[in-house]
Amino acid sequence: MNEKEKINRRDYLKYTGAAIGGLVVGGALGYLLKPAEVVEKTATVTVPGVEKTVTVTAPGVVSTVTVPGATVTAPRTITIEKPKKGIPSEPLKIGLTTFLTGTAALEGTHAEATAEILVEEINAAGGILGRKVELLKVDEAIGADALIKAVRKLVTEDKVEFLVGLVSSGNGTALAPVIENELQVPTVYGTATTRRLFEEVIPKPKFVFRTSNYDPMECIAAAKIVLKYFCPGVKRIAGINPDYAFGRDEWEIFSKALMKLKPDVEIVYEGWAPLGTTDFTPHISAILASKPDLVFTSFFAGDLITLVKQAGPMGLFKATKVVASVGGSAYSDFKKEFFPEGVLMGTRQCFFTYPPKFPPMEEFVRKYYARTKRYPIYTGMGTWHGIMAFKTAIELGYELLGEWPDVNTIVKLMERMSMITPVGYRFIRPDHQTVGYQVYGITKHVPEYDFVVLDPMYIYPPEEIAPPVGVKTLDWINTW
Amino acid sequence: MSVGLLIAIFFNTLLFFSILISITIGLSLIFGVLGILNLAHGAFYTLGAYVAISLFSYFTNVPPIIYYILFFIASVIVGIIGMWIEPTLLRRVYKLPDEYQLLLTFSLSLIILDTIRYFWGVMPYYHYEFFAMLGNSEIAGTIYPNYYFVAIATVILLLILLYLLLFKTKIGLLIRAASMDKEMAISLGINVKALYPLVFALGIFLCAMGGALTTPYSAITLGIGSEMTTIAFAITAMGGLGSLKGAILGSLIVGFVRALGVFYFPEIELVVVYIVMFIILSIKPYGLCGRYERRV
Repeated sequence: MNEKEKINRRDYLKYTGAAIGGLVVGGALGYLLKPAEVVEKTATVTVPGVEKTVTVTAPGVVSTVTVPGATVTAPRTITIEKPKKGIPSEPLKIGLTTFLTGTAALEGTHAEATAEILVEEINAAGGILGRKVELLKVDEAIGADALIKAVRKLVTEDKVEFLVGLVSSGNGTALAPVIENELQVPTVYGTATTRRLFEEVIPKPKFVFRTSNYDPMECIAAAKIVLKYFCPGVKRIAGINPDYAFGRDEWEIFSKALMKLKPDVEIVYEGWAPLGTTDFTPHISAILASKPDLVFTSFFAGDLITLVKQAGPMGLFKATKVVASVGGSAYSDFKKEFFPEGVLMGTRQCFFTYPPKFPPMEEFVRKYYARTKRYPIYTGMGTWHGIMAFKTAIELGYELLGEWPDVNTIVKLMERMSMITPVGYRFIRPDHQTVGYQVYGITKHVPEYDFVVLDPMYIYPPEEIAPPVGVKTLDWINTW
Repeated sequence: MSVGLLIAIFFNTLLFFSILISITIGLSLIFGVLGILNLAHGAFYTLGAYVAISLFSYFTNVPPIIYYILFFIASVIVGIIGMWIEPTLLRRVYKLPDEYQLLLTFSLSLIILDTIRYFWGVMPYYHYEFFAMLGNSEIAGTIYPNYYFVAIATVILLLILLYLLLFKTKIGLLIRAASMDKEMAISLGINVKALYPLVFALGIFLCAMGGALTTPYSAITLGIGSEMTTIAFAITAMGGLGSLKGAILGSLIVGFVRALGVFYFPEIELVVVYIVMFIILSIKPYGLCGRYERRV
């Protein structure tokens, strides 16, 4: 054993020495050819019983180090990226805007965790064309005005080259004109799902993209699922929604779509409560008194937990069917002890068991759970897709042009880009809205998890629920 | 209108009143005696909820009375923090112009909320056992969780105790004297400053109790204080700054208007509270029970 180890070590040192020698020579050559850059690589080489970390610092060399093991020969390849033409030497800074505090942090921290995981992976694989990626975070809870200032600073002073994240539709619509007209930096909204963004605020976007499914898709999908599977005989509907643009939009689209598809449906109650409401009791009493067949709510995250906790004991779930369109905001926090079975719950494009047996999703869920003890949700998936679309556009641009692409090329390449993401195949439309499957399901208690899961699931393809490019949601519903 | 509906409106009013009064009465008490408009009140309410829910998490399968006692323990803990904050922070600004108080209490609120964020994180907390173990009652066809009766009864009990403290004890007499006319009280030899930590702690205890009482039926997040604080300030203005009677009256009005509004005009339910405030203040600019002379 000792002898073997000695030999191994000796061989190991010999090869490593040769490699480093090669690297030094190559490095000197590379240095003479292009002195500006130094690419540093750390490779961990594991030999059974021995672990060595070799740090080689030299530009312009591709070198193979073969490390013989105790019984087998394990080849390890250390690739030193050649400095490429026209690639800036400084790290690539990405600005992440999301909710890090407040009620919405429940959603926002998913974007943060996903971005961190992804950036670590990208950096471990050598960065984007060799440029290390740095993540600069801004908390969206500071409000739209302060957020615009913070983003302006990110772009002008910190020299951020890409913006990603963004959860709030209010912040998204306020920021969009500033990005388009003034800052002109590629930007991907990971959530901010209001239809108004590309229908009214920036109808001809150049720099702003959105990688999440958007409100019309989840509301129209809900209406169709209700009529086809969940409550086909529905006549009386009630709504309890957050009292701001998002909640009003969701209720308008859902109720209009439902009434268009089944004209004898009537609204018997419309309730509104602010985000962070602690007492829904009066609303629940009022809904019960109005005797609806179906209740629709777009409350999400912590507020949905409060609503459900109070509605359960008061008998709401026994008296009527309930649709929660944005249940995906925190589904792994919807514990079985208070969240009932039989609720139709929407999770936008992301639920941890969908697509089933899809390797990218299985791998992502495993990594994500190991790190956060949570399951991924749509805010994270939107951010993941945003960063990957940006990275892909740069790499494509470099392949085509042989130099680091400028912003105009990057956004052109992102337009119409399709991509394999953990949540399936997704496509960025020419109007910068991304579409893919919309996931709904009926909540169920199963022994494997302490939270509710979806069974059965209803998956809608985008062409059935997303307004066509260039058509406004309500106009589209009116043509049905 | 059905009997069931009337009963629902009645209890919904009382429940909302209970939470509101626990905040507004402390706000008024502190303003009346210390002359401080405590912008950090909502933060203490949130802190009360977090401390309560943390204590709850240590107990499972215990009789309801244990949970009930934990409400008081949590509120006392937060009250003690208040008692420590008054002499260390607030005392420094009494003689400075009013805007310093606002700056200080607002910063205090930010500090408390960030401290909560640091220790508890941003994830919502919820506790379900206590709420579930008490069961429901059915009154005239309306199902009502029994916990709500517990919450309402607790606050009414505290109000009665507060009344006894203020009107039947020596220290209550001193507090009322200090609240009514501070200069006269001082000139009569009352050590008003010695009352300050006690009054501040009492106010904070009551609002922490409000927060603690919401924990069984609401998800606890950093944002829970914001809606309540806004309404509480509206009520305090409506009832008259520093007036306890005004706080009770204002909380009852808002509780009732909201419970009724949700049934009959849900589209404008949130505005109704402020419409009522507007009407009251345009008729009585110093509030229902406000006294003009205090803040000339």
